[in-house]
Amino acid sequence: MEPNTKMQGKDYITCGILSLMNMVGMILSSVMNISGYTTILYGAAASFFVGILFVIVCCKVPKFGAILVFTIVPCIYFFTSGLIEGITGAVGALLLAFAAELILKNKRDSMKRITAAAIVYTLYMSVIGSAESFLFTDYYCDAALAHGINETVVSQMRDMYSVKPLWLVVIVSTALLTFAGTYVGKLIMRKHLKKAGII
Amino acid sequence: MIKFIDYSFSYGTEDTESGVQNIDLSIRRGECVLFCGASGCGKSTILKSINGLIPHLVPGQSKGSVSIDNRSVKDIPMYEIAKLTASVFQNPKSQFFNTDVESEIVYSLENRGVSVQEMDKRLDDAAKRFRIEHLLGKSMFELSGGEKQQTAFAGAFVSGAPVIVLDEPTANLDISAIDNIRTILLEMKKAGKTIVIAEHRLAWLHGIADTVHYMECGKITESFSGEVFFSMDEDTRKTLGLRELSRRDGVTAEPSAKTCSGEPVLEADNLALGYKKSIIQSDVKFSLYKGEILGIVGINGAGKTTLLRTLSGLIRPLEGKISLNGKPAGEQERRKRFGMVMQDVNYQLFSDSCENECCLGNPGTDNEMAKKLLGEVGLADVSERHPQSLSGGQKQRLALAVSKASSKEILLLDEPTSGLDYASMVSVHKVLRGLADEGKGIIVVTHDMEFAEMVCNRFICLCRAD
Amino acid sequence: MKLDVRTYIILTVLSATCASLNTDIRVETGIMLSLFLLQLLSGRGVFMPKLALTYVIFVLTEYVLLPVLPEAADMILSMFVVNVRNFFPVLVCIVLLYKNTRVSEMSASLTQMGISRKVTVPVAVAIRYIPTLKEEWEHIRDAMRMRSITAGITNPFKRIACKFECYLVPLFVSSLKSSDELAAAAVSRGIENPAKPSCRNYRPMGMRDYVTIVLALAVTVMCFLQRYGRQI
Repeated sequence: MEPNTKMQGKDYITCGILSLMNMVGMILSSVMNISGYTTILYGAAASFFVGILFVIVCCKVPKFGAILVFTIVPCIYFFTSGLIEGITGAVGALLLAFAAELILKNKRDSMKRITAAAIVYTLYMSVIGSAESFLFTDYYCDAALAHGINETVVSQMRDMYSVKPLWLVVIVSTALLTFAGTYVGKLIMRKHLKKAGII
Repeated sequence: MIKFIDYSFSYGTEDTESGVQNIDLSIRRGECVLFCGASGCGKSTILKSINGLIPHLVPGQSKGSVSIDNRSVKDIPMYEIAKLTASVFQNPKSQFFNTDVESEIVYSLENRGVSVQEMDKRLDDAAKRFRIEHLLGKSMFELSGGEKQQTAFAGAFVSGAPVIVLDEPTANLDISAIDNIRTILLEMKKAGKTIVIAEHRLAWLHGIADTVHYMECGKITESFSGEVFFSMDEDTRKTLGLRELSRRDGVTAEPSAKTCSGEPVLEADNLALGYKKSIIQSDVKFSLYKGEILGIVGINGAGKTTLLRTLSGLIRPLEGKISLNGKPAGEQERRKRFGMVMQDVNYQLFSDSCENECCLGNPGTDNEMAKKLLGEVGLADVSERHPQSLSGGQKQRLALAVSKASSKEILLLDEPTSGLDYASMVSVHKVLRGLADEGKGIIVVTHDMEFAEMVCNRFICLCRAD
Repeated sequence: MKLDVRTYIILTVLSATCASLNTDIRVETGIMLSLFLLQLLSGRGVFMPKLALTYVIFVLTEYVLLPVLPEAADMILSMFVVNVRNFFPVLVCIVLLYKNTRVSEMSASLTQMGISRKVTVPVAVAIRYIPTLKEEWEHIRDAMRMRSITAGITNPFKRIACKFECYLVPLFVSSLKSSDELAAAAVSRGIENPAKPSCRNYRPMGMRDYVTIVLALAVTVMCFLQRYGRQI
């Protein structure tokens, strides 16, 4: 049989399970929200896991639409986490997933493309995820203060987020960790999954 | 009903499973056909070719044709085949989608867009026929493996498909669950379904299978009528490498002549087992001697696995004490000195080759020693393969080799023969005997009486507390 | 009292919105009390006493303990305590949604809303897989406890890498294998049928759903006005 390039029933199931793991990775990474300084690393930590899973999705389901389905469960998680932030997060993630699909196109066996697509894909953690704190720093910090976070901590946060080049650092570090994630993903693929005959 | 004409199939990859060659076969409407033979003989390939997974889901090269009702399987889309054949697979855990029993049973009808009234009617009918009314309304996750399989059978029946394909449906079940499945299968036969089964455990099919095909290396080498097959003598059965053909209700054999003497290595005194506050078993008392293989038998839910988890130090006993060589041993010490082969051995293999698996976490073992160990358990020729690509029996022997490498003194095995064919069962038996002769104490939990009689010196029967 | 899936989803979104708008602890405890009440009304096993107790501990830590502790402790703990406490309404709603909804009901509601299988199938599989994933994780952890994986490795980075690999690889292997098995079972039961599926478990929204949504909306509007009312 010709390898089918359209998503079929079984691909939706595989992507559904990996999508769940995607969300679990994100929830686990939110441990980073434990303190003001580490919050900034949340995106980077999550993108490491996402990078690993991204490689597995691309290799297991090398078809157009796999990344979009892979994003569904995190999208629902974003959506339920608040009205305005939720909708922007969910729409942003889907748009970037679509962009990743376009980068991958039909060449889903090239590791370079997969890495590039993964880096674009995880931009939702660094760009969209930190947009509120960098663009609306005062609003964000006032809200934090109003919710009862310690004044000194909030003023440290305010200082940190008003250094705008830091946003670039966040974006770059997230991209780097995504790169690391895809690298580890590739190792796991080669060393285990391919050898075990699963992919 | 089903016709194979000069059909061959190969998976295209080297040695995962060999496929089948030149199959000519026809199956009548209402017939019950059993395929048997060693693992990898091609029986599940035949089944997959009937229910359409080959060629629609599994890629590979095929020649010849398979047809159901004169329609070629290759040319019908998968969702149309679903109206002709319904399948029950081996693993009860990974073949349901819904979290509640009722939806699970009618799932194939929902996908087809059948009206709700019709679904309710068929559901009621199936529940009555198969006597599973007590399961309706439960969550799938509350069910035991056997009950999950019953649900899967009901789903297959409800779909209205004339052909039922069963791929080792009892691999993980205990005797009482198999009895229930047998009742269901008799009902299905009465309803005129054509049934195709691949199985290692054969005894329960006595009186159900009309025709038996014995397969070897992708070919049907012998065909029997059901009556002739089940009256086969023991020696022929063993040379064909088949599991036993008549069922037994308890252990009949004499305890092995080899008596175990001396000081016990393990003593369990007054144990109460369970999680948190719910006690599953209390007052468990036994001892294990050096070089002994102790069998723990009993029905599902009697706390066999809990007993192993307690002994191995994964959970604390609620009461009582466990001593090793006469000294009380805490959880941590037990974890160090006990080796365990879990029921699902997949979770305990971590490395990328069998050889590295033996060395992992055992700094004293080098590659040479690992090779020697693998040779002892009969895995020398697969030492470079990925552990997860091995067959079930091979994985278990690898896990035993690993326990030996980390010089564990007592080995615990949880249901080692679920889903194994006769040859794998015999080789696991040989490895266990060898380890026992070296002076290890071994405890085997099993509901497989054939295996238990083969290996164990002594038995303990756990009954349900109520 | 069980509500519709859609009601639970709306409730989750609205309580997350309230949590981000509202800064008054009295309002928040009110919301939490009503959510816990909703859990209690849902039947056995939905209300989790430990979860409720954790919430109480967090509130007490923030309002009783932290003010009397030295400034340094407040600085270290406040972000954690506030963020976690703030997430509780959403968490409780997710528990409500997860424990009260069968996968089939969820698929039914989504299908009736005109959403295609391309979305309902992955979502249904993901929800069905949550308990399995947990189970797999526990098995792997047990296996790791029985075997000292990192014995003999002295480099701390290598130790971490080795542990990481040994946890992840079996998890991926077993998840991918299960997904193949699930797919085989699904496909042979006609999941690819282009016909519109029928839904045995579909129930339209009832009075109690609308009442709950209206009440939740009212609370959200109240929170909004309390925050921005003066500016308008």
